Amino acid sequence: MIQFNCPGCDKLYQVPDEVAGKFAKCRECGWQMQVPMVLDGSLEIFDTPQPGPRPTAESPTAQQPNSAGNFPPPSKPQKMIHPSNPPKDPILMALLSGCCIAWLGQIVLGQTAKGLVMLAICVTLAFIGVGFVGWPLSAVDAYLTAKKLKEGQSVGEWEFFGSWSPF
Amino acid sequence: MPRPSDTCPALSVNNTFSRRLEICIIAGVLACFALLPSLPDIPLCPYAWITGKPCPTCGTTRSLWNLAHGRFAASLAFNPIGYIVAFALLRRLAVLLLPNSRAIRFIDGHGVNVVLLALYLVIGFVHFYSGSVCK
Repeated sequence: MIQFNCPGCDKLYQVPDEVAGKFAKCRECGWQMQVPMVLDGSLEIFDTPQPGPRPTAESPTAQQPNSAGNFPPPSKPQKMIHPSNPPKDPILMALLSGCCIAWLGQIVLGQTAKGLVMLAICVTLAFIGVGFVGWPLSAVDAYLTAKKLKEGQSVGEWEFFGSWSPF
Repeated sequence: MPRPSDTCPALSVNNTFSRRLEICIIAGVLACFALLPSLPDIPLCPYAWITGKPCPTCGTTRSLWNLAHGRFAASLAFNPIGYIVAFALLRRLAVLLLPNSRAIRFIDGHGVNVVLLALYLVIGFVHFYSGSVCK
């Protein structure tokens, strides 16, 4: 059984392991949340990296050693933005993103690098007379990103429209 | 057994402080609009400064100020987006103060949000192509 509290009203729930990772709606306050995952008993958890066997050549994710015989470090994972409590309001984030400081909503949501880069692109576009194209895109993007976070899902720092990431 | 809030980042945030902070910010913004006898000299928005044309949301501050002082027609003339911003701020305040209210959960639903977003985009487009408020 998995035991967890509703983030909205703190009501205690007990659910079977099979529903881990699925979404649930609190009967008390209506908050939508993701049931926490439980650790698989076959996993070993370490605080620091441990020496061990590398992926085999048949493995699709196998990495080849370099000339010195060392394996390259794994690629840096994208920073994830986790849902906050209380979640940000999607409409307010869209309004923030659509104001004169475009992409401000994304910065407030935690996608700081994406917001600043897109703001710089919008300012550049404004100088050449087509800055307006960024306005509806930033508003819709902020709305969909905040909506995904409100539903209890995490988003990548460079994720656009709640589903697409260039990296 | 560890509490899920110990392992799941989504559940680990202490909501009391952030909730109170957001209530204070929104109430402060609304109080400023209602209590200021006149709007301070706010600089032109960066988009209008660069391009010389009003952006889709130009006039929203003046619209909100007029709305807070009961001048509904003037508020509409500056930018109807002021009505959407006022509604969104008041709704957010209500959601934070009364999270368990069924009526507030309804107006905070996805359907209402889609309508608000569509209105916002349509009004913004119309204002951008016809507006001349940014002076």
